[in-house]
Amino acid sequence: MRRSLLDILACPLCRGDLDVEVIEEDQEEIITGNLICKECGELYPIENGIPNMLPPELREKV
Amino acid sequence: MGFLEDKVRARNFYRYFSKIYDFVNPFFYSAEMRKTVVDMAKIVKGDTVLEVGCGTGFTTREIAERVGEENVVAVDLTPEQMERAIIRFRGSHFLRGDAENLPFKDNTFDASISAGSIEYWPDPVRGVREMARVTKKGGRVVILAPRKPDNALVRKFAESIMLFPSTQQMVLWMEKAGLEDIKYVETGPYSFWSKLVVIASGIKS
Repeated sequence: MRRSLLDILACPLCRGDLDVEVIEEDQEEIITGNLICKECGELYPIENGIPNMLPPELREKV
Repeated sequence: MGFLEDKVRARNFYRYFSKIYDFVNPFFYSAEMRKTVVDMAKIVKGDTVLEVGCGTGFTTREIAERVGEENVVAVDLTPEQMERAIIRFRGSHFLRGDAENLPFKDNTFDASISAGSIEYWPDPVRGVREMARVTKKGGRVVILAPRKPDNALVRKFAESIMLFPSTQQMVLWMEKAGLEDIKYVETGPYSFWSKLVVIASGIKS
């Protein structure tokens, strides 16, 4: 994901703003990392450049 | 409840179906229908548009051509389907997300579009309400759904697979989600199948 996406993303559970924790990044985008909700603390992984913003219970099912 | 009217089943189905999806899909969803969907969103170059359930990117292409690739944000449940769209539209933004819990701030997009996804949502009104929430005031929400077949026998078969809303049902969902000035068209890929889907639009007030 590109960093610009952070401006519009929100936690799917509580709509809180998100912090980003970068593990791997190239010139264009964040490849691996985590998005962490500033309100409820829920963590959403970024894998292969794609943020997984599914609510945690659904993330485990699908 | 239809066979695919469940997120886990839909996910598993598409995991395998994605291999032949691009071959089969044009028989049910034509380029002309896709054009109508995007026309109804009334979007112009530079608008930011959300697509819910982008799949392999059939509708994404039309949206990207109108507003510019970099202005499209596309969400899908299944990474297998989305991988094709990502390769096709390098400039667009892709993420995994749930239609009923969209991961965006309020009043973000100039329009929100979803084609061929609502039939998998367990709570369609909640999904439409979410699309309305993330759309800016005055922006449009456009949804394409397979229509409940008119023929009783075909209808029975169709309903054993997944949810097929009637046109009235679709309009009611949009009203319940708080959308205004609701318009719809019934269309299809062939003259003998001219009412296969309903495309409905509403304005966020």
